[in-house]
Amino acid sequence: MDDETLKANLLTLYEQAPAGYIFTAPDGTILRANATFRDWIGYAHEELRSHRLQDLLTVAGKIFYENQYFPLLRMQGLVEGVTFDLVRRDGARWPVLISSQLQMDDAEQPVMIVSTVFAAAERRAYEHELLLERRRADQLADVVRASTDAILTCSVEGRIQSWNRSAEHLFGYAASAVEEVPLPDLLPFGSAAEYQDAMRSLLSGEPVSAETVVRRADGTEIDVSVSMAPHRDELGVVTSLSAIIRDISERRAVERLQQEFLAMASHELRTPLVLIQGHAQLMQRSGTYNAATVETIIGQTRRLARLIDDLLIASEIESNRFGVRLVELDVVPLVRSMARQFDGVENRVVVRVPDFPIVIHADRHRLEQALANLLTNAVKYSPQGSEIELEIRDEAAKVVIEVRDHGIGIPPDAIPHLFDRFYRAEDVVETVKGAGLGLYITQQIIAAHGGTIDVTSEVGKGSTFRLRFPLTHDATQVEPVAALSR
Amino acid sequence: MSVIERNNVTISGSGTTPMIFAHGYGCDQNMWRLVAPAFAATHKIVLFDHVGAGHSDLTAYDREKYSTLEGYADDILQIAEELDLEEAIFVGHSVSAMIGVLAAVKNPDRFSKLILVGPSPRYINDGAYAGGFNRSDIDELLEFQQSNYLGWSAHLAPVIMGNPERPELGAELTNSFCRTDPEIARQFAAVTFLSDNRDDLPKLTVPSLILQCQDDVIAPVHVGEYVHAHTPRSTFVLMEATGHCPQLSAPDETVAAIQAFLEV
Repeated sequence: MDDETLKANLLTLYEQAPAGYIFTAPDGTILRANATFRDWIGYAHEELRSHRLQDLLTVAGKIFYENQYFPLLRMQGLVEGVTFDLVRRDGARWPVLISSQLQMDDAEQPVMIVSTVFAAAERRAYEHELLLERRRADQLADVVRASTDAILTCSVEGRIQSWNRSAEHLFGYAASAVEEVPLPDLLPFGSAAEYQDAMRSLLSGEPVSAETVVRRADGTEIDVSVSMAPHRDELGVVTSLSAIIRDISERRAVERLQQEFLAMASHELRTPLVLIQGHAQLMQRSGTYNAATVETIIGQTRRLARLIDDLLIASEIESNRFGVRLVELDVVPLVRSMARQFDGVENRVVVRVPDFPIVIHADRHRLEQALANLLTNAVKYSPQGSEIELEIRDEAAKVVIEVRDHGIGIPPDAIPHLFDRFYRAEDVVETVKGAGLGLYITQQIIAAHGGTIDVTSEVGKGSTFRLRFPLTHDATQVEPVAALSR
Repeated sequence: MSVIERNNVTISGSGTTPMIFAHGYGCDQNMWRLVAPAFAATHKIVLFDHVGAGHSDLTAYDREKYSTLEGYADDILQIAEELDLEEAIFVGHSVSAMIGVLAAVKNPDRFSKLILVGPSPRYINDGAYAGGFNRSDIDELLEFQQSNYLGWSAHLAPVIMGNPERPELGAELTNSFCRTDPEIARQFAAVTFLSDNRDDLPKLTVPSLILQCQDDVIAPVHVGEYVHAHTPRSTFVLMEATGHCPQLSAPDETVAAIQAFLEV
């Protein structure tokens, strides 16, 4: 190629290049710009020569140019790939990257700036996506970090890749330590066969969930529910797995308690029924009316009715449907009637109440249930022949109803748990029948009345249950009481 | 952490009269590289980086302190106190011109003269006052900072780290010349471009020189004229240089203008 041809070719190369090539004076005035740049910017050559390059930028770009781009260029002689937006003649934005080189003369004075302009719309879009992806990933990472469930990811070989704080707590392995622990050691999944089954499903793309047992770092085991999901790469191959693990030991404990309770309750319900059936059959066979038999039958039906009431109340409390309707009520006749009801040959019930009315805001039916529970207990835990006292007292702005027995008493370590659902003090479980609901329900009823209940007791001497009710209380119907925590 | 370390203060020159150079938004004390040496024989040259810029201590950055220009002004007074400077000549570029004004209003005894290069007391237009920018322009600038941090820091980073294929650029390349922590840069931009210190100009008692460039989009000529009109004892010089950084684009003219002012 001779020089003339080369010059012509170079000029074409310059003008048609896939980038914009611009020569400017040190102050930015455009000396020459190639055809590509002119096309991008929408100005003809003559128009461009009265502009400085920085005039073709957005306001933000101008400020950046003056404050940073030019100083960098002046000090370093070179600036590479800085993001700008050109403003085209029609006002549209044209995303670019600009690189510039400063040319100096022999006296170290700037004489020209040579700039290359790259179209960057695609790159800008990628950057934007990258930013959004990063934000999304950060947000998800926060969710995982904050989750109370253990969340982990692992390779298909079972090597742990990520491990959140809750996983550290659940398993007892720090994130740094767990990498060496293979997955089968962390999730026994039952037998080796069950583990293989689970893995097979996952590798074929099926999520898996199960309730299983987890072995912690200290060797202890806890009940968990596990959800595992497979994750595919861009080619559709399963390359990693994730697991969300929840500690269900509390749920299990509650389930166990409920099973025990059901077993106990059905036993408790059956006992009075057996007695009713037995005595009725007795009378049927003998063909004659027997007052004592009938009294027993009636007593047992009452007992059955109370137990069923207790069960219903407990169910209402649990599902937040328990309510009381408070009206003004004179408790004196109510207490007298309860005393009469429980006064029997085996245990006398003595009542100490004033002659004048004592009025509180109460729900008659519920209050009767509460007192019935306390009196039933008093009878249950007292030896034959001992006395039970029912008393109403006035105490500084409160009405106190006391149920006092002289029975076996309550051991001190049982007292804090007395009002817990299903609680029965250990030493009485075998000898005395009951479902353990009575005091729990009693306390809920009293609380719904705005009152309090407490107990003092001495083993071998007896117990005193004290109910305190406010004298002033917002009247009328109270909303269902939220179930108090156990 | 001493003030000297915090602000990367460098002292040179063989004169006695102190001359403090304050860089503006964007870069660091290297901005004065072509101008400060001219005064080294006759003055004590004090160069520093604002906290967040150059080699200043980034851990000293306090969002609350630097939420106004006063925070930066206090730093200058601290430097002056630490070095026991008296009758100092203060040269401030761009936003540092106003920072210098605030420092001199607070403590005029420290300074004998102020040189304000491309000053602006407020960038956003306000009724009859033409700062040069709309609020939407500045919002766009701050948004540009916000969404473009990949562009600002990641692109500048490889440039600033130096280019091993261009050894001829040699030792001139400094790593943090115009790279600020993006968070700090964001706040400094907001504080600078949303500032309004017009009311502080009349309070200045120290004589000042306003060096105004032509075709400066950041501090246009009429803003420089405003500063002159509202600042007592001020001298206005319209330079031949264009753009916003005459200390880099026209260092000789800048040095001459300053010398002329100092000799008076």
